[in-house]
Formats: sequence, structure tokens, C-alpha cells
Amino acid sequence: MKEEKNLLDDDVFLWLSVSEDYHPPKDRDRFVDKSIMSILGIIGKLKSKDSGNRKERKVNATVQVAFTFVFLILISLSRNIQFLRVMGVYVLLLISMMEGKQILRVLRLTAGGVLFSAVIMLPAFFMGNGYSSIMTVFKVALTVSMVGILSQSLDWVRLTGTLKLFFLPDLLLFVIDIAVRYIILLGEYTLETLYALRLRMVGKNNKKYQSLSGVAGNLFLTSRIRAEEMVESMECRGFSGEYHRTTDFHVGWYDFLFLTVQVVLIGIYIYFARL
Amino acid sequence: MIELKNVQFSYENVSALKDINLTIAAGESVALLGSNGCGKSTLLKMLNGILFPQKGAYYFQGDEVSKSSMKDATFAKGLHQKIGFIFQNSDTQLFCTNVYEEIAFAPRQMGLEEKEVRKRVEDCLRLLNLEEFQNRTPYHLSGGEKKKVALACILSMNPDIIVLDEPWNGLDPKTQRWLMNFLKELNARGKTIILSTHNLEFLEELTARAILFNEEHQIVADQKLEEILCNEKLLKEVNLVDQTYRYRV
Repeated sequence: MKEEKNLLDDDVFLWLSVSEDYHPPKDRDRFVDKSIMSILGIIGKLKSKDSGNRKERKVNATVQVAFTFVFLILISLSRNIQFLRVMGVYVLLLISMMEGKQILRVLRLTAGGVLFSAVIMLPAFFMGNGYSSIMTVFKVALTVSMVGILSQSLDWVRLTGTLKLFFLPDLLLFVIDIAVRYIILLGEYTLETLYALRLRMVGKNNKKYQSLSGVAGNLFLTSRIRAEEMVESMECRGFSGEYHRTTDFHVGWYDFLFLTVQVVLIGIYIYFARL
Repeated sequence: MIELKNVQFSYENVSALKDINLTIAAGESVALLGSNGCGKSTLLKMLNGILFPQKGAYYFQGDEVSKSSMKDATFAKGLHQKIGFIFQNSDTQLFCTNVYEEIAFAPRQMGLEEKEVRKRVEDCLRLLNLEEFQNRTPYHLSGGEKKKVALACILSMNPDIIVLDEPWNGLDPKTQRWLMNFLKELNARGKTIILSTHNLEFLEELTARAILFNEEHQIVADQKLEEILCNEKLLKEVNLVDQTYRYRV
């Protein structure tokens, strides 16, 4: 076996024994910082949907998803602005019960949808179809808000779990769950690599994008190895291609309260539809 | 050289560092001790200008290191050249096509002549017994070899301070011993060594000073390593050792 040795005694390494008199040149390399910020943003968003970071919701996820789906249909079918007003009040009520950051996310999402649909409907508005244009924008606002509220109030595991309602196979749900988890894990890995790149970019780098391709290649190899390791560990734990996801369909008082409100809202829809 | 005044930092709403006051002089060898999640790695990232104090201030050679000062690329690059950081996971630190290119990455950016770059790379390869790996892809090396390549990458910049996050993790006993001796040599040659570790075995040979964190992310002791290692009660209080721990005199 090769003998390990320390060569510092050789006095060969004079450059290493004196402090470097180095004055960095100017160079534009904001791209690494921008990449770091964008990855931090994505990881932050995904982590905020992680179950560990949020308060436990009191309403059953399946019930929540099912009724959101029903109301999306009712909103799009509705021709009466009164029903949309009632739904607007309901949505505002739901938003007011959320945390500050969640409210901001929902409002940002809604504002984007409203702005986009308003621009699309602008010609129709000026052509004399003011009422239907306003109705359309109102419907878009309600729809986007409801989806935003649902997305903010459920973590990934519960959200994907409710997809069973739409007869998606358990194995597919498992793949979706794992994919989300690994986006976070590999995102954190990429972040560390970008930090390492930034720490070692101590001067003028004429091959900036070549360095980034190295980061991407490293990430690809890591993701492949992690995937292989995961398959092996699953096999060691008895995985044979079958996966059954169990759901705890517990219905409590909050669900009854929630259901009552939903039934009342459906009643309001029917009432206004018959007018 | 390094001064932290009343530094606080938290991730989202989770505290990581609380009221940290610390001064490290040039040429020192300092160990950060504490249980998992006590804030050691956060502090090391802060020293390297990756994270910034949310309260308090961090000064390096008299200049404040903050989010705004690090926007000045010249200042940031100067700091990164002066402080070399060895990550806990060497995989994340290596991104070039082969070991030679990996070690040459920083010296080339520093604008050194290619002849000087080659000398530095060859010296580092020799110093760390990596000559036979110079054309290999870093990704396919063993854990110990990767750690050595990461160290070589940092040494080729010739930093004044070498910061290591859990340097002995994942290394075999022989490489652990070699690394300890190597760091000792570097320190004797004037390099400042700052490291975080759980491995108390080698510390006495390497560092004279230790900084102990408790689980509330505060510094509870900053004194001679021997004094901290003798204080079994304190080590148990910060959850670093269990009842089986006995200090060898």
C-alpha cells in the first residue's frame, strides 16, 4: 500500500507558506447569484408545501378537493352575478383565515389571472359586451383564488393522496410524491454546488457557462446514483412493483361544518339558477 | 482577523445562531463543537460570506461582511480567496472534468501564468498524493480521495484561512489521521484553521482552542480545548456526549 506522507517539510511549497498578495480584477458574474436566488426560491416554495412546515388542517383533504372541483364547475356554469358575489364573499372569508404569506401567494396568483383575462376581454368590453366581460373576469378571479386556496392549504402528501379520488393508480401517486421530494433534495445539492462555484470564482472567469455545465453534469450523475440507490433500498425493503397507498378517511366536526357551508352554497346556486 | 459581534441568524422562523460574539486571530487553530443542528455549519457559511447576519455584524480584517458589501464583486472575490471552505460533502464541491482542471480552476481565474498554474497544481497533487488521479473524473474517486481533491482545490488558491465543515466525516481511520497531521502542518506554516467536528479524538493534537455551542444555538464556552474536554458536565449539558464519556488525561 502506498505510504501517505506530508511534503510540507520539503520547503518546495514556498508559495503556500506566504500570504497571497492578490487583488481581484473586476468581472461580471451575477449569473451565479441569480441561479442561487432562483433555486432558493423554488426550494422555498416546495418546502413551504411540505407537511412539516404547516399547521395541521382540520378539514378532510378529499372533501376539500371534491368540493373545490364542484365549485369550479358551478362557477363556470353560472350566469347569475349574484351567485358569483356570494362565492366572492366565501372566497374572501377563506382567504382571511389564512396566514399572511399564504394570503400574499393567493392574491399574487389571482392578480395575474385577473390581469391576463382582463386584457383578453378588453376588445369584447369595448365592443359592447361589458356584462359578459366582467362576468368572465370575475369567474377567472374566483376560479384561480379557489385553486390557490386549495394549493396553499394542503401539503404535497395530502394533495397527491386526494388524486386517488380521480382513480389514479397508487404507484403513480408514489412516483409523484418521490419526484417532489427529489426536486427538493437535488435542488439543495445544486445549491451547495453553486455556493462552491461562487466561493472558487475568485477572479476573472472567461468560461462561466462551462462551469455551469459542470454543475449540471454533476447533478445529472448524482440524480442517477440516488435513483439507483433508492431502487436498491426499496428492493431491500421488499418492494416488488406493487404499492398500496392507504388513506385515513376521517371525518370530524369541522368536515360537517364545511359540508354544511358547501351544501348551502350549492343551494344558493340552484336558487339563483332558477330565477 | 475575524470578528463577530452579537450575530443572530435564523432560517424562516427556526433559530440557527443566537447572540454570537467571537474573535479569531491570524494563525489560530479553532474547533467549533456542539451537537447536531446547533449552528456550527451556519456559522462556517457565514464566515465564508454565503449567509449574512440578520442582526449584529461580521468583520473580516476590519471590513464588514454583509449582503451589501458582498455585492461588490472585488470585495467578495477577495474574501473568497482569503478564506477557503471545505464542504462536508466533497461531491458538491467538485464540478470540473478532471482532477487537474479542478485544482487549476481558481489559480487560472486569479490570472496566474499557465506555468505558475501548472506548478501550483503539480505541487498540490504531490502534496496530497494525488498524482495518479490527475486525469481522472473527480466524481469517480473514493470519499477520501474526493476530500483530498477538494482540499487541493482550496490550497491552490493559497488562502490565509482554511475552514472545514466536519472534515473527518466518511474518511477511513488512516486518512483521518493523515488529514489531521496535514492540517497541523498547514497551521504550523501560518494558515488559520477553523473547523467544526464531532470527532473529539484528534482535536487535542490539532487545536488549542475550542468554541462550544449549546442546543439553543449560543456559545457556552470559548476556552482551551483541554478545559472543555475535561468538563464532562458541560459536554453532557450541551448534549455532545453521553454518560459513557470519560476524558483521557
